[in-house]
Amino acid sequence: LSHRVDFLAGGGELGERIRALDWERTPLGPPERWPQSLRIAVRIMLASRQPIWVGWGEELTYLYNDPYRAIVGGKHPGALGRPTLEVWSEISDVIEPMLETALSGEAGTYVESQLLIMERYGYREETYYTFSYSPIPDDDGSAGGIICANTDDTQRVIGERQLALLRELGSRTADARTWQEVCASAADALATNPRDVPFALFYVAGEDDGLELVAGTGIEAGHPVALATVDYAKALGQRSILALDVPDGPLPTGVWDEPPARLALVPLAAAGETGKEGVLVVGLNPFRRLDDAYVDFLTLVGGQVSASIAAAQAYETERMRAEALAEIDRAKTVFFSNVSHEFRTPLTLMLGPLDEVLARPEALPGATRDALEVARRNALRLLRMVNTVLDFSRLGAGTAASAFRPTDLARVTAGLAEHFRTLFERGGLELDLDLRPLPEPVYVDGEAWETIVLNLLSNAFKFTLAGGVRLALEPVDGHVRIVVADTGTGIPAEEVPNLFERFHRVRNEQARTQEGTGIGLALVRELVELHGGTIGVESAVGRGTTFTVTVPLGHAHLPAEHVRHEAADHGAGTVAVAFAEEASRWIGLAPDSGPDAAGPGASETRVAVVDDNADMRDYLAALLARHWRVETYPDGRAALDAILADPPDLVVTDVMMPRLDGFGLLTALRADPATATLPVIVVSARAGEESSVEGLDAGADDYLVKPFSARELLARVRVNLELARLRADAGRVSALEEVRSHVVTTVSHELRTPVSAIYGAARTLDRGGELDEETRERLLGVIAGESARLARITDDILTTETLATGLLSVSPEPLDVRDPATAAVDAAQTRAGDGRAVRLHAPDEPFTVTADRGRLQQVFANLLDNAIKYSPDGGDVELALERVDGSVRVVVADDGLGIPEDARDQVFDRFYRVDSELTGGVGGSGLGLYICRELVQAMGGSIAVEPNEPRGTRFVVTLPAG
Amino acid sequence: LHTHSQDAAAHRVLVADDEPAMRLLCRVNLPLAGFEVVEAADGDAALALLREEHFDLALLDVMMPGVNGFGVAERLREDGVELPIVFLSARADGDDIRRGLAVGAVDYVTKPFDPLRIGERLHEALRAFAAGSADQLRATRLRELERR
Repeated sequence: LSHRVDFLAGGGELGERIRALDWERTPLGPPERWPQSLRIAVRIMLASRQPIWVGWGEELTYLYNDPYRAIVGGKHPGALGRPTLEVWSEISDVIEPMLETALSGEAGTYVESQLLIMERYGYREETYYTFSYSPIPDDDGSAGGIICANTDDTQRVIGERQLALLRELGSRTADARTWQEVCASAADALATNPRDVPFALFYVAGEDDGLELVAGTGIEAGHPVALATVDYAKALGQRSILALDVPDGPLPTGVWDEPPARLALVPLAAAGETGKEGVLVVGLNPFRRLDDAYVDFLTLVGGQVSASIAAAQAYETERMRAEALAEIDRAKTVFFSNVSHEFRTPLTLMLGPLDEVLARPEALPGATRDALEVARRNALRLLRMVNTVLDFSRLGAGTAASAFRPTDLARVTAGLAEHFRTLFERGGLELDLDLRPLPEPVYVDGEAWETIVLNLLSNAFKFTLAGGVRLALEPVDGHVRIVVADTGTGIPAEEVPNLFERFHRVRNEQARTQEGTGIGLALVRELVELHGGTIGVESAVGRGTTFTVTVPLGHAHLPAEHVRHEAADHGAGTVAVAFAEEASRWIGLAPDSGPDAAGPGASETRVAVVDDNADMRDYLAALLARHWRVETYPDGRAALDAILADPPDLVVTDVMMPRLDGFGLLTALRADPATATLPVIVVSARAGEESSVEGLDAGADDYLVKPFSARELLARVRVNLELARLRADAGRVSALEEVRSHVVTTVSHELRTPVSAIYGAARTLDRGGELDEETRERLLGVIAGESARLARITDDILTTETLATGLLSVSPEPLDVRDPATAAVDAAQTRAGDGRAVRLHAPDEPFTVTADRGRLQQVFANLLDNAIKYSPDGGDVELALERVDGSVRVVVADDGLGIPEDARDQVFDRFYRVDSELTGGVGGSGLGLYICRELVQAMGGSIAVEPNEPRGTRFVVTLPAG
Repeated sequence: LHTHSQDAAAHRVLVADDEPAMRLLCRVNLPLAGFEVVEAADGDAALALLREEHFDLALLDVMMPGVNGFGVAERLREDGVELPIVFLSARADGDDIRRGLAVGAVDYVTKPFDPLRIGERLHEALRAFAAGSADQLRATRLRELERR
């Protein structure tokens, strides 16, 4: 080698190749002739351990060093000595402008992490480089070439963005509560990295082994790729990622200019017992090979999604468990609430009579007997319920100590049913027994069988208001079948599935009572199952319900240790009596109602008692009747109708009642203006703060929780009556105040006019001889007429006050309407003055009515006065009497200004004045028409206003004749 | 409508009041004070007469059906009819009197009034109107109102 080419010494493989290349065939010529600048640049390049290339001359003939081999990749070693833009033709669009910039001036270029899609290994590849192009000055000072130092950023850039995606995935799916939410959130996260994931599809294994698309990004759900679920199913349960070539057809390209060529099937592992497995289908970056790094990345993505799905499912499972627990808890609360209701009522009934007996020992004999009777009945009832609850909890704890004995089931069942015979008769129902003799004794537990039959019968009675109940027993194919069919209200279809659930109560307002614990039918079912039997129900709303119990014959199906072979011998005991006794108290809810006789010493104050429990009702009525008049009602509906028709002074009501409950009654009463302030005391067995708040919120004046003492009840009733009286007084005082204030502000003006006329006429009369006789008489007439008017306005004020205080009295007597009509017309004629007539039109026959003479004249005077006032330009006024359909009609008509249609409804309101431009402020006192209506109504008549023809107004007073 | 006068030189006054008793008092007393009285029973009738015939003075009730007394005064002013107006009203509140004087009345007489002296009030109003000193009379009335 010549010393002239020492600058090419060393440099590893590339040094050797550069030395070996025949540079004569390149624009550079032999190295010996290379300019000094190029020599120095090549020397630097070969000595550097950074990837560097040098381009020189017109074509930027390409030289590079050993570290740069990795960048040139598959182009090595052919790139050496080739023109730069030929070597990098695939990225020439990016680098050519930069090369031109670097060659044209003194300054080089510098870019960081530049994306370059290089094609080095036979495919186009995503790469990132940080590099600078620095011009190399030629020996003459101009830019003779480029030296470029490179840093490969590809791994760093891709690694960073993949890491970012994994972080995004973690944070977005962390809050997802269901696997669907996880997939949707994960799809959103994948959308943030369209370079590594141009599109993605989440599939979850469905019910029938197929895959179900649940989320996706970058591709539409209807795309052929998204539908190829069969192909993807093979990835299910795999441990590693599978790659597939994409099917033909256009695919979304994401941010690239080329669609993915392959798909990765990333298995989503099932987690936990209820875990869902699935597949994540990812369209692969067209510019990356599916190398280890890419596989690792996708594996991490799949793992992250699987973990999030598992977490969400765990959360969901936990939530459902919590919900189930809450449901049980709710049911328990309902149960205890109901049971406490059941316990508290009899408790009240037992404590109450005791209270009574102790308070009045002198009355012992009679009262004691009655009280003990009540106590006995309710003790029986309590016994039955306690028995039921105990049976039930025993069953629940699996400790039912049964004894199955061969039993003559027809006879025993008949005996049980007989206890209900009288009850059904009193309730107006048929009880049809069809108990066929059975071929052999049936192995049953006596007490359990009793409970089954009695519960079904009492249930049928409760929900059957008319018709009857059929109880049938028959052998069927090695079984015995008992059928209880009623013609009752039926069970809504949606209630049937829950019918035998513990604590479930069918909400049915068409029942004899709302009492019940909600465990009767559940108990029946469990007892039937204890016998290896089944129970079914068929029901149609409005037609009735049929329960069918089937129990196997023999004893092979029963646990041998509980089978006894000695025949049972038990008649129906106290339990049957208790059942029938309790049911008997439901009767009488329907018929009995209305006012009861007042007890001695009762005042005119009326108290209504509403309770569906007959004992409770009787008890409350007996207590209250010593002080007030008592009316009793068996449910809210009956009470509401009676109370609205004739409101009592106070209402005491139970809460849970059929047809309309206590709160419903309260709400209805508050909605009616007549009863909006009627004091209502709610009595309930539901203890607890919420219930009383609910009651007071609903508008109850007071709330009493069972059990309560007699003294407490009486005190509450007394206090609430007193409060109501004070409220009414306050109302009257305020109405009176309103009238007085109106009198001061408005009516006083009205008084001025007659006073002025009287004063003026009297003063004028002082002129004495200056006046002629006719004038003097007219003036005296004014004094008489205006004095009468003054008296009438004063009367109106007093009448209004009387009305405001509710103390109006009328003294009806038989009279001829013509008398007060004539008097009123005469007075009005005096006032109307000259030039206009006030006429009376009455057939010459008596118009007899029963009314207050003075009040009637007051009404007519007001109507005539009104007519005169509103027909100022001299029109005539007529008062006509006529007879229509057993009524007497008095029509006062004028042809004056008339009353606008929209004001007609209001003219009878107190203080209403037709005070407008039309009347120029001639408002009057605002009392006259109000008084007319009130007086006419107080006398059993009515008043109406209508337009007169062709103009003016007609007031029509209708009074019952006779 | 009725016309009453004692002599041909009497001042012609329109009395508008819906109360027959009030019209009677004016009809009897004003001629004795030198007025010829023409009556109207409501505001519309009063307006029609005042627009068509010559009057030296209008004595108007305030509360009348149809157009009330204030309305009559306002419309006369709109029409450019110039004559002295005196209100005669049971509405004796300060606000009513102020409003009456504000719509152009020369004087405002409240009921009850002395029918033997009403003539003097009307003559006073006529003089003030003729002398162009109606504003001074109004001011006097307002001062009296303040003292009340």
